[in-house]
Amino acid sequence: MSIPPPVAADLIHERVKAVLGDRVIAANSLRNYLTIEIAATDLLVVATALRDDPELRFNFFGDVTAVHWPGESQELEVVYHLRSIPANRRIRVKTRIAAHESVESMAQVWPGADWPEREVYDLMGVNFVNHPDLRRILMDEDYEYHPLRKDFPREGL
Amino acid sequence: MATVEIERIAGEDDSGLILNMGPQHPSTHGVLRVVLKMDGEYIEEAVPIIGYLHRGTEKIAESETYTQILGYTDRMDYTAAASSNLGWLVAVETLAGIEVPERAQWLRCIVGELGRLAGHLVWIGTHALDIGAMSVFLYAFRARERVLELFEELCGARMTHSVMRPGGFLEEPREPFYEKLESSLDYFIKEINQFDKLLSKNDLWLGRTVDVGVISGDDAIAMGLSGACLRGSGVEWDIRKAEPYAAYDKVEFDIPTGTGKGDVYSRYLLRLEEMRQSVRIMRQVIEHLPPGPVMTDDARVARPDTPRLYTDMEAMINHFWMYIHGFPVPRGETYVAIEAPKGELGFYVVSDGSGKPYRMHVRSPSFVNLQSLPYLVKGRLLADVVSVIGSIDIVLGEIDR
Repeated sequence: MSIPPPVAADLIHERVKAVLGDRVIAANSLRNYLTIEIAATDLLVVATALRDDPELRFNFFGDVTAVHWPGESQELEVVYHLRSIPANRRIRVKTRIAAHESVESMAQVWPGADWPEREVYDLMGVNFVNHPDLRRILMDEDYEYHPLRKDFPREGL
Repeated sequence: MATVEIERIAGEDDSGLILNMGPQHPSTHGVLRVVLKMDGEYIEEAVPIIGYLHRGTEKIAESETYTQILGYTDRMDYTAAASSNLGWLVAVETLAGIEVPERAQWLRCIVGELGRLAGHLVWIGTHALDIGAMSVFLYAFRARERVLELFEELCGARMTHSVMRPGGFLEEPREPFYEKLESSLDYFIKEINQFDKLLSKNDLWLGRTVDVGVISGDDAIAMGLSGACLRGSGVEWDIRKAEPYAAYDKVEFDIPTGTGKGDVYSRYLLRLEEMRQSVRIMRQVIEHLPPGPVMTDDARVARPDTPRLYTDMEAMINHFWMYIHGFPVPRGETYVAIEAPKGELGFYVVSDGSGKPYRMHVRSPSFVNLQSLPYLVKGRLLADVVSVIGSIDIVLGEIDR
């Protein structure tokens, strides 16, 4: 099994649109990186579709992280980076939530999302529902803050 | 940190033996702690506990310029700092749209492969030492010393060197570097063959590594494993070929997959072969290295020449601004992954248009690979934990960041 040549970006783009339909709120392919934005409630459906579609097969969970935009109504932006090894393509899935809301855990779709999601929970305070074991991972277990939020000072707590 | 873990895996009835391994245990390669629930000599459950080396690199990065962050990336995978540097720079250059000159691209392959060699030599030394092969450790560190000397020749620093800059290299390597590199390549091959001779058919080694810590290719993909842990399971995947960066699309090399069985021995075999491929890449680079500058002339990142700096006011202002405020990077985001010695090293950078990133996130390969440890050792002997940790090849500086 050698590395497959990357499937044309347009084809992947079209296929993602066809599979997800109007679940995609916004899409772009800046810097040759397909990015889609979806609603947090659609996350599990979208993830399963992206993984199981025979042409896309986004089987590799690359990474999850979050960006904090204080002052906005949906202040946390959760960003997933998925990879399709069979199609040799990547996709970025973004979703916005308010600080008190939660997102479905991707560990239900890709077991590899376990630790990365724990890290995001720990440092950013994103709550993942249905995660097998959502605990702090880098900080101490009785630590009270989420240090990567923008309102957390770099020094002098 | 671990009291909760111990209570949780001990369970209600408090049956079985709870064994604490680390964070100061030499075979955990740093400050990794593993709490094990044992049934006699067998592992019922393993819980890795990390975070002892957490320095908040991602938080610090938000108030440093893009060039300053380079120094922090050195301290992530400190056994192969060059790869972390390279990953960060490719991410920054992609986001800022900086073109890197051809010669610098080729030189980056040399630096990247030297880093891989250094990382793998530390891996084979410590991995063999954990399993009990003391002499391999000594030979491996002797060979690694040669790599570090090359880095010293290149830039003066040995381990945390930050030799590259956004836009290329700070300066052209001096002539002795190329001579020394060329004369070292045969030595590396000789050393690698020696490891091969000492271990690959060694009965004790085979007993400790064959069919230990097995993971299938599909499971490895689902678990997000990358690098040697993924290839060891027979999945031919290498970002250097899949999404080439630097000049990797212009050199020839193979992607070894070991025995493809996904055990410790397979990962061992393929890393040995990877070192040979690194040498092969460096040979090609030396042969085809194009002439030209090693730094872009893009005024955003190119340091003004020293004579101009003292005679021309514009150059001085430019220089001052560059070092105090950093160079502005257009608004946007990017995720760039490279093939580090440990696996897929990804940098996600969000810029708000200023000289400092709004958010920087590292997808470190060791972190994701380590989460497979409980799966790999479940039901195995205690001694296998040591060889599995060694074969995942972790660096805690990168896991905890």
